[in-house]
Amino acid sequence: MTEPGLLLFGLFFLLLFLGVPILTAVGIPALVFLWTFGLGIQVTAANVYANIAKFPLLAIPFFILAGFVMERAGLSRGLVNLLNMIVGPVRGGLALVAVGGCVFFGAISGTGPADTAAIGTVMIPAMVRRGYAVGFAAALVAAAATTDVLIPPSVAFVVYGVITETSVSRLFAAGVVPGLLMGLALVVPAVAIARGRGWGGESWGTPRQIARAAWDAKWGLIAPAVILGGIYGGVFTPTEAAVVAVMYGLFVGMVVYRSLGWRDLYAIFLDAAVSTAVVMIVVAFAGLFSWTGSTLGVMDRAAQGLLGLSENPYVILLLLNLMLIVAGMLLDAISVYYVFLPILLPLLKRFQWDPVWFGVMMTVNLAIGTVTPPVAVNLYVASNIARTPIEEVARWAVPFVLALAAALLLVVYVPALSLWLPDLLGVR
Amino acid sequence: MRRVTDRLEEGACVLVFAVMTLVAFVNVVTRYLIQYSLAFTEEIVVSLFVWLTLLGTAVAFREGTHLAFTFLVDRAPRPARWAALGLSTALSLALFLALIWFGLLQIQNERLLGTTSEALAIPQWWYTAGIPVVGVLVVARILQGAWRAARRLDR
Repeated sequence: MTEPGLLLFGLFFLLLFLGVPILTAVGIPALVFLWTFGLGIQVTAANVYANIAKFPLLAIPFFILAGFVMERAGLSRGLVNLLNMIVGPVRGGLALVAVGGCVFFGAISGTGPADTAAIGTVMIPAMVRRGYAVGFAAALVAAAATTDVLIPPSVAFVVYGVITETSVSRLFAAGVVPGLLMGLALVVPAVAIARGRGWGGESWGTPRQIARAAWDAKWGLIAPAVILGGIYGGVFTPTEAAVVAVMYGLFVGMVVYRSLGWRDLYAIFLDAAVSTAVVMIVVAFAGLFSWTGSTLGVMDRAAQGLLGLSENPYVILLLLNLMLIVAGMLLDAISVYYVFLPILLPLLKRFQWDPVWFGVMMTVNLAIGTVTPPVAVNLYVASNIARTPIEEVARWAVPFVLALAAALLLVVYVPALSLWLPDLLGVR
Repeated sequence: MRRVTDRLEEGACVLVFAVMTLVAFVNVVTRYLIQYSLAFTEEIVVSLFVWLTLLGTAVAFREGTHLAFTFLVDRAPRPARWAALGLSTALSLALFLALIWFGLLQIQNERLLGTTSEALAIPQWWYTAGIPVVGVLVVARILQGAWRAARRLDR
């Protein structure tokens, strides 16, 4: 008999390449195999229901909603303005502001596209006005927004935590240093290119202006303290912190800035609801897919197959990362977690790898996937904002992807980068 | 009328999401103030989450915004694109029709066994009902989305 796993995964990839929506491309093979192997197809509805109805997953809709609220409320504008006065004037300064803005907004929002939109709508036009190439500006913001996936809060870590039964708070803390590292790695090519082309920045702010800008940006500046301080002060669970972040954003947008009216609110809730659903329906059916695969014993055998290639953990790590980079080019992070984690978890046990470090490594990989075509959500969002063809943006993204890959190598081979902070904070 | 049927699940999305947010926020506040978590609110929010997911799924099918790898299909000749659209539509329909069918079986079982929810002890099938009810809406939107995509291909 041929290996059913090859058929299961083969059917999935076939449907994927034919352009079938990912939720269907994972759902149909699952149903077909549950049916043919008599694995209890009647549990389908209960399984799909249970995959969504998990309390920790509730952090996802609320962090997505919080990101939309803070973006539309205009919290990013004040932050960018402040950064601009501090580092903007040096040569290549606006590139620094773009990276810094994305990293900081990453501590407010939970997904890369939200970060791209929040910083991109402010920074891309500003950079173009100062003579920066529009493709460069869009590619830089898209690449810098990948740090959002690592810097807490992070929707990706919530899903990884739920699947692997790892503490989400610990994952959040572990993402901080790698996220900052990615930001730093991006600064090198960004500033080098900007200087080479003589792209500049704004004028320096006087101390008085800087103080004023900081005061104006105060609501954005304290938002991460509210969200992350709440989690690490032991006040909130990640889900509760997400709810509080939504309320904080609504308060600032409706009462303080008065930039949000009831009509905006309707649009924000609707957009956040649909973004949530697009993620969660994949979670629902990908969960069914991985349950089917595990029940068939496919996942264990695939893991054995991987181990058969080499017993050397470093070789396996290299292979895994190549596999994840390719997967990240074709799929979104959530699908990759559900489809591949059941195969990878036995490897973690075998090599006694730390699941938190492994989660960070995997997430950096998949974050890079959001700027590598053909499936590259951040590039799409940025090219929409910049009104520039995606091919043009992708061309400029090449040096940034290489810089992010360098950061990835460090994260892979120096686990302390991920584990130092959570250990220091004593987060379990 | 057209507008109402077109916007049906959009309004429902906003309403469900707003209720989820409010209930979850009240739960945070009460837990903080009286050191006591209202466990039943968790149950409500989590089951509304399932409804929200399906409602938003319907909207995304209509707008054609579900995640997909369309790189190859977008570059294929027209007949191949028609075939791919047909395949996507047929399989997505099959998936949700199966989900509705097994959802109905599930409800039948839950009613037979008298299963009640953990925290509120109300019949479990009230929650499960979201799957077939909103599922029908999803099926309608799959067809509507396919119709829209076909008209774009026609041009």
